[in-house]
Amino acid sequence: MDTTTVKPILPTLANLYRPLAPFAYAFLRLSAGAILIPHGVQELLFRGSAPAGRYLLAWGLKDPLEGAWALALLEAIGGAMLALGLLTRPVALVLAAEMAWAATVHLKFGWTWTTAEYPVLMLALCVAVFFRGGGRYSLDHRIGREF
Amino acid sequence: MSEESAEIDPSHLIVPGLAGLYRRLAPLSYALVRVSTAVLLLPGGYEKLFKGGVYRIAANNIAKVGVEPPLAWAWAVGCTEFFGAILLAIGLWTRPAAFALVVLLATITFRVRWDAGYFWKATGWEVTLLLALVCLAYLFGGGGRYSLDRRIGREF
Repeated sequence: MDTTTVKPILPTLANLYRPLAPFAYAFLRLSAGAILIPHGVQELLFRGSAPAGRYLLAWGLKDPLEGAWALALLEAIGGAMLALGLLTRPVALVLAAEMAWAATVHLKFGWTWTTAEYPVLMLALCVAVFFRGGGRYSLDHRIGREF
Repeated sequence: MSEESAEIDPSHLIVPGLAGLYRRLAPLSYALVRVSTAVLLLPGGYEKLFKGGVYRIAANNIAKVGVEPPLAWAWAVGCTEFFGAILLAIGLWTRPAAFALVVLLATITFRVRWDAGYFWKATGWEVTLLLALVCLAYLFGGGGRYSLDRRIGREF
């Protein structure tokens, strides 16, 4: 963030983090995207799509397997695009919708790290990325065109 | 105009009409993650300090990490989660709070959850890793907009 309006209490320490401060937002975006990639990859390569398929079936979808594949692609490719900042806002919006859905599905199992809490954390990150877009350190910014 | 809003260049937008909306939303982004993360961490700290959770983790996870004496470390963990989350939420002493949380969450990731694997459904380490990375971002960036640090004008 901007270190110009806030005075550091320990200037020596400020020298350490001042060069890093401009990257804070990009670091958030990168972390949120990268953490999703293994989910999609696992489902695509190791047929881990069964759990998502069950939820989709319970949710009343006619062809849960197709939906599960779509989610897997979304997490693998969407996660990578979020990390790189490519088509950032549309991708963040779609992922936010997925996470909102995942949170409601898991809410009936409780509020812990293995139930609704984690999708809600991801939801907050995706909404935040939608709010701000790719930012300075993104492919969107490099390309110079973005949604 | 705020720094975050100024970053949005209408001439770069495929739908330039959205610039006004984006400029209104962008300054909220960084604070949204700071507050949400803190609110998600808070119940864990509360349970440890006020619902006997310190005794549970002293007997299990703290013993697993192997630090002595377990109960003192359990209280340190509970206090870090509870007070660290409150400080992060309001953005007061954001960087020291974020630093303490990074150390805690990284330790949980690598020393407590590691054996369970990556995935969250199997109590894996991705959740604490993501929380650690988010806190690391606030160690880099500080409280930012809508924080007490910013309001006070002095920060660590």
